[in-house]
Amino acid sequence: MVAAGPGSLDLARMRHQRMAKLQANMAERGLDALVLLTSGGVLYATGAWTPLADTGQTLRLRPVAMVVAGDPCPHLFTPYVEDAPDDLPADHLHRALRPDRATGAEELGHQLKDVFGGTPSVVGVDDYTVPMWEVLPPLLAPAELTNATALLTAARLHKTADEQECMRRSWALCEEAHRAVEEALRPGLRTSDLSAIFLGRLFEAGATGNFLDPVFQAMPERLDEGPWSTNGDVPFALVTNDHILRRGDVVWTDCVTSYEGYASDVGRTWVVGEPTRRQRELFARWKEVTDAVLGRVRPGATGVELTSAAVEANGGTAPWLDHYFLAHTLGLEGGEPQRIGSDLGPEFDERFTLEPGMALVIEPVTWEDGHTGYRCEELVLVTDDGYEKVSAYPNRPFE
Amino acid sequence: MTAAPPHPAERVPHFLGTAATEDGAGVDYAALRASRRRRVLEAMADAGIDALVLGRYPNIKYVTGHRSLWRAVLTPTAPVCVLVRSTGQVWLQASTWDDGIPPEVPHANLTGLTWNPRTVVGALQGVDGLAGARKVAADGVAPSGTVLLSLLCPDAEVLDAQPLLDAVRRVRTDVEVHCIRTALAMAEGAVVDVGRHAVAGADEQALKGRAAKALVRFGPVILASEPVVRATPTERGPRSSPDTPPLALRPSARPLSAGDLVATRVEVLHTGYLGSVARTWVVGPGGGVVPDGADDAGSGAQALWARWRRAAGAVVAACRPGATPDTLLAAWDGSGEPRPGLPVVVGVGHGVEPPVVGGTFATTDGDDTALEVGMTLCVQGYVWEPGVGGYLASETVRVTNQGPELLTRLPGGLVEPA
Repeated sequence: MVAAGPGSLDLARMRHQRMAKLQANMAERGLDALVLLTSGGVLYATGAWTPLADTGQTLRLRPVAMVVAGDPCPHLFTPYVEDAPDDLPADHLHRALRPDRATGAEELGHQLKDVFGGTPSVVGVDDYTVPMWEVLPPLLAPAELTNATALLTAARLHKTADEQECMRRSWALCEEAHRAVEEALRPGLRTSDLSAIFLGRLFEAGATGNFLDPVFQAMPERLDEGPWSTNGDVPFALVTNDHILRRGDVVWTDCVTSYEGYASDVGRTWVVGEPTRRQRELFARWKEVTDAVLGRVRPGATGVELTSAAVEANGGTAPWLDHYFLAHTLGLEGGEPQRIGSDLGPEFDERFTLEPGMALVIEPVTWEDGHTGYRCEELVLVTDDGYEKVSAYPNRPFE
Repeated sequence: MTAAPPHPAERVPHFLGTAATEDGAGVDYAALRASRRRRVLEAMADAGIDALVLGRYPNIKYVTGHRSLWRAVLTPTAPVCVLVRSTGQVWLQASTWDDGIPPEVPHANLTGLTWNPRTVVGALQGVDGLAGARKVAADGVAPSGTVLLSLLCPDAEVLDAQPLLDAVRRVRTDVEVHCIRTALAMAEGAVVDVGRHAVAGADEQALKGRAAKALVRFGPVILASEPVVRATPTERGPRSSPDTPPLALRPSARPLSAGDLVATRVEVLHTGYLGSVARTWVVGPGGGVVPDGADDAGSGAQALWARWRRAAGAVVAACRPGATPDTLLAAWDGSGEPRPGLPVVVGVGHGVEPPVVGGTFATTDGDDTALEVGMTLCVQGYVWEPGVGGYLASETVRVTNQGPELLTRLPGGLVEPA
């Protein structure tokens, strides 16, 4: 097992504190109940472990959560009853629902009335199957059905101490699996072999799941060697293939793994062999950009402060991928909706202000056609007066 | 009259592996995609549906063959793929590159990743034939999506796309069954690899990692679900129902002991098709063994295997044209074994498909459609004995006029050892 960090972790306390935040957000918005179908919504409300799977499976065998205002425990409807958290009361643990079916959507409505003890007035829902969309409004009339997405986003944005500890552990486990891959990196391996080594070590080390097909992409040296794209920018992250690695290949990684639902998002740049002088320079510029951005991370800083620092350190152009962003918040399952430098535009970045308890991934990119580029992701937790850097993967042999 | 030679998509390339070949031998995926899309367009025509608006990847994969970056996350439904019946054209949102995009989808029909709802609307407004649609079928609606659909196709009636797609997907061609067989072969390989290392002291988490590693050794495949490697319980747990044989799937921290019965399930997607294989290893000094009538698995395991064969064998035998979900459950019940918590039968295709029979649900599947020739099903059974443990195993079968055809090929199931 990997040393999972020195911090203490109490999962029952974590679930309890998350529920308290949900309840506070519901009260603020005047919601009587929540019906949660997204995997992140169910995870946040219940903490229930389910085998992470392709949506071809989870759409048919899915957990659903309901939250009733004033009730400190969620209701969990799951096909995996015996893997439910120990502290969930037995009368809050139910057989699974089938919201993808008309009969199942009706049953969902009836169960909501049952656990609520009548018809709630305002219900937040985070996703609908078409049968739910057809069945629920008449079944729950005159209840108002509202969008629960903003409520969930707000609750999830600030992490409790236990959530932060989960994120430290998740990141450390993903870095440990990265180390196993980097040690094995050599000509003749296929990029899919890197995924195999990664997943093997990841689970062995104690990660509780994997959210994303691990990306170990051999980068084209020039953009015109890559696939056609809508935006002409660096093609990343592409689907895993079985490219056979050769000396000099530059590999970018992007892996999103789970510890009790909390995501890592480790991205690194490696070379099969030694980096060239120009590649070291691209790293050096990436480092200047990253340091400039980190230098601005503190409560009260806006997204625009971060993007401006990055652009300035990069000599006037944006050092991030056009189809992504400079930074994003992180939590359960992966990136959260707070994306800084995205195509939502500077208006969003201007409004977004860092606060203690947020988890922020910074992912600048430098690129020079003909020489590939450098991209890494760093995780920081915003503290009362600055930040704690969680990511600790070394940048050798570029340094 | 001589019968026409089989269409390329119907030719099954046995014993060729998964390699791309210079002579073009192997699965003709272009023909397979075309045949799937043709079936969908015909079903749309029958139902009078002008456009499909899809956000769920198994549906998108079936309709387009898009090889996309896999995530194990259910987010609010987003309109990623549109299929317009009048033109037969596919449009894919959030596809920044043509990597993974089949060549029949032109660049003009691709739009990049975006985080901006206005851009999504703009891109969908550019889909020829959507704005004038009178009948649209969608496979989900995000809370904000109702507004989106009324904006995009103001005159359209919106229907559920899932029953239509389920019906189209229900029956598999020989080539699709070949893809499922290949996926099964990969999963079998990984299950065997776990068994070789199921020794006393082994760690369930590490064996789970070994299963994943063994699968990805076959190349760029997708884990359809996290491998399950879990010693079955010898007594009921706090969460166990008195009516259901106990089984938790999450790995425990307890190292394996000699004689443990270790439920092992590996599921993989090969070109989108599911191979799901479960077996139960009895932990022994030289690795795990499956009960096969020999003494080394222990009499408790042999007896459980016999019970499993009786119950699961009855279900497999019932997988015939005309059988309904009730028939299949009755076959299990006829063995006298209590129903397992996991479904006894699921359809197998692009992941799990209807029917989903049995399992810990509040309602039935609601789909009582009888089995047809060409359907592929995974029969998964679990039996349990206090003080001994449990036996989990599965068989994937194809429904034929001659009876169920076993596609899984591994000891410890219904296949009798030589």
